[in-house]
Amino acid sequence: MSVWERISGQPEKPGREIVLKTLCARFRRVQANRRVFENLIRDAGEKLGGGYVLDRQYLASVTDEAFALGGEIVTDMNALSSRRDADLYRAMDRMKKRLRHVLAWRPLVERGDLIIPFDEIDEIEHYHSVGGMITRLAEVRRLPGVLMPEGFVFSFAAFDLFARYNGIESPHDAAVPGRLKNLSNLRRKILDGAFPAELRTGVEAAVAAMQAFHDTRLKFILTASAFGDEYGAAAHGEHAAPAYGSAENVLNSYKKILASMFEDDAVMDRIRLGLDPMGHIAVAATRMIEPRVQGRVLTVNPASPFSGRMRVEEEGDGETVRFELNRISPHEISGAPPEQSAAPQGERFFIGLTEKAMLVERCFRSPREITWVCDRNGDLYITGVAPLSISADAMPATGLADALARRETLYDGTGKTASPGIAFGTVRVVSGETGFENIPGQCVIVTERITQNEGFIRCLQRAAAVLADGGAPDEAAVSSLRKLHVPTIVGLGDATSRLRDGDTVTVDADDNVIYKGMAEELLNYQLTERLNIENEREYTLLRFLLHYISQGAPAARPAQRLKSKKRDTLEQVVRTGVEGAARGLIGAMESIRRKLAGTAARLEPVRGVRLYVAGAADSPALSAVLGGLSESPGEGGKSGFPASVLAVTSFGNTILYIASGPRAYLLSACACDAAERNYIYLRISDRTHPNDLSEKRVLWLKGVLEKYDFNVYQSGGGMSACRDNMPSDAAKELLTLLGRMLRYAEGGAAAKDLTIESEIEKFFMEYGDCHERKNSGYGS
Amino acid sequence: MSEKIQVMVLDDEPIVCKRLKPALEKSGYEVEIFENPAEAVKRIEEKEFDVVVTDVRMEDISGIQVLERVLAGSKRTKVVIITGYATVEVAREALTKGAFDFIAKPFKPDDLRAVIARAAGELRKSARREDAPQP
Repeated sequence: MSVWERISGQPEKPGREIVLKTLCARFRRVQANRRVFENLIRDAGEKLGGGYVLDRQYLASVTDEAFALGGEIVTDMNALSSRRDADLYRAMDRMKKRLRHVLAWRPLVERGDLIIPFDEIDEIEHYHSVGGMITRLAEVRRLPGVLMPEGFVFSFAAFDLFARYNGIESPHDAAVPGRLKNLSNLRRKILDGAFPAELRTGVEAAVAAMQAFHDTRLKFILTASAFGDEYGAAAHGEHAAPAYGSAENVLNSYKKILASMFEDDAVMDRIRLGLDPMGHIAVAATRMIEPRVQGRVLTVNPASPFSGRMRVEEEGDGETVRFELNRISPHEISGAPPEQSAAPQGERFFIGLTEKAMLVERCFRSPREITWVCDRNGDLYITGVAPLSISADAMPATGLADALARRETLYDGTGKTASPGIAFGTVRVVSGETGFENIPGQCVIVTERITQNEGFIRCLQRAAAVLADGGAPDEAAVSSLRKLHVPTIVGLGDATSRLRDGDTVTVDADDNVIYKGMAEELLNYQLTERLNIENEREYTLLRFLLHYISQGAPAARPAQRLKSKKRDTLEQVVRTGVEGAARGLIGAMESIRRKLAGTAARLEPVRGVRLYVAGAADSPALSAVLGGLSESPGEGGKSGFPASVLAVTSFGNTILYIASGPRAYLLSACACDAAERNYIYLRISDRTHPNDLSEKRVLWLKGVLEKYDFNVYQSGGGMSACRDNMPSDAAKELLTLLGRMLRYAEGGAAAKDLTIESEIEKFFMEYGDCHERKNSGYGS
Repeated sequence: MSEKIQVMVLDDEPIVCKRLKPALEKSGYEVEIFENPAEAVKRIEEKEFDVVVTDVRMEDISGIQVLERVLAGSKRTKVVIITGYATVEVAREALTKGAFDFIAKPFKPDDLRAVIARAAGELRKSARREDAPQP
């Protein structure tokens, strides 16, 4: 199929020649769309972490725009490519379906993994497989120094399979809308249900692996989670059940939990909350820790939420000991635990506990109720995390704005927000790129600039806030701060000299204000208003959208990525589309080159058509495509023309050219479509060099060009010439002429063959001193 | 004009009201939030707000209709339009009909605060002019 047929979809008429600019325009549009797509994703990422006000309308428009761009790229790719890639359209359809579910806040129960190890659970990846509570609990495992008992999870798909296997249907009575079936029968069916082989095998394997690792028969605790329960849409029921030793016991406890989820109240609650009454239920089975001491931490004391203290409960001998610790400076413990505490290491244990509790609170971005267990080795485990709501009504009635106006500020409006949020802490000034070690948790780190230093990144996880003298909010290093929700202000100018170690400050990175000391009213505002906002569903949805559209940076080995042909995200489809378009364009250029062979043959040594894309170095995948086709990959760079080039076309940041002999740099002939006209453009450099065209040659060339109706003019650095709508015969003639000139200039056998028009002969007779310079080495 | 600027925020998406109320109160404004345009319009008839911040696309009553109702009742109230469908047409229509400013969603609370601060400045200026003794 000819290039014209591919692009137009119509049969080629005799005499019609594909216009180069049509091809290039297609490819240019592919690139432009890719840039818009990348900017869209980057911008959405900024919206997610930058404290923006956004709504579902925005989420829908981001999704629509991303798919529209992806669709255009794939269409253009198919036009440029010789084969139609319908798989890309199918992949986009799959993604659209998934995102429709996400935006409608419905779970996507795909028949996939039934049993997922707790270690492998990712907050976003598995949200639609195991629900919010379990994924967020799994996230806690990733916090530095936080231990959680290992285990595995029965996914939504496992429940789905179990239900189908045992003929368990929705409790809705299909015959009478709004009426429920007899739920006791349904519960009985669950408790008597059998397990499909694949589910049973999965559980047996998981239990066996854990028993083998610990070399003992383990006890498990099973905990239920349902879709939407982290937003108060809890599927009530029995949320925990123990299981001793064997896979059979684990399976039985699993059934008990499932049955409890179909108690009348639980089902009615789901219906009231607009959820599927059948529910999407996941169950985590984790190793039960033999406790030496255990209890709860409430990161905010509900009885006095604005006291800056957390409540700790310790259970032992049938009694519960309650006491308070300082939540704002956990490393400076105050309100010491009572003497009867059974916890090992006394105060040090509780400093660790409060620090970890604060990390968990930040991870969830709102106050939490945390259950903890200290085992017989003295290791502290977090075994459960639940939301702890603080009523805004409990907030002191004094106006926040008035109270803040009375506060002493150290900076007010100076600098720029790099990561929004509010925090209090003790200042630690760090000079240079070292000194980030041994910084206690919940400190305000004051540094000259945000770096990607490993020590800095590590200590960020425990930092209360970061202040920097320099830097800008769009620096790459700042993104990790946003990801970790560390309030950060950059560009303060003199923070490292103005603030001293040990100063206490309250950082308001929402409004770029730094208050001296503790601004309790601001911290209370943070607790009651601000933190909960970021837990709103819209922000979670945007996180999902971004994850399903783009999973971040491409893999380190582009060639492998190309082979893998993964099409799980829209970004992968877009990349495949751009790469396919580049391949298609290269193929089309080859075909054009063959058409021009009669002329091009005279431009020896022609190395073939090449594609040079400025900025390709930024796209490893694209570089791989282009690199594979380049005859001399070292040639060319990120900008400008390579030396030995007779350019055929040039536009924007895409340059297509026929490479010719080493002397070709003297004449850069470009067929441009910059002004959307089909015209030929020649540029003659006046660079000072022994081999450059002399003034007389330029004058002669000017004459030749004028003969071909070129508009010749002087421009910065040389002479330029262009003309519109040049007939192909005339273009070929001119290219032949230029080629002969070059061959003559190169000397050798080619020069002897020169049989040219009288003007050229005259020219080279008069100014033909090139033989003497042929071995000057210039241009090689 | 009362000492504190009275702001109404109207948006049928609860997240917007939830997010803006604390952010504006933190800057010292008195804020009332509405998710239902009919209720908001009823409230506008009862009370003269200094600034009304409204979304454009809502069910039953559009933000442009709210703008018209507000300006019909009080010429001094400044209406700020916030919308996720920020097109030139919508902006032109809003500004032609007397909107004080137009902000495209998503935006930072600071962007809105800057607009409200500007509106408050103008309200104060016009209040001073009205209070000045007539020659």
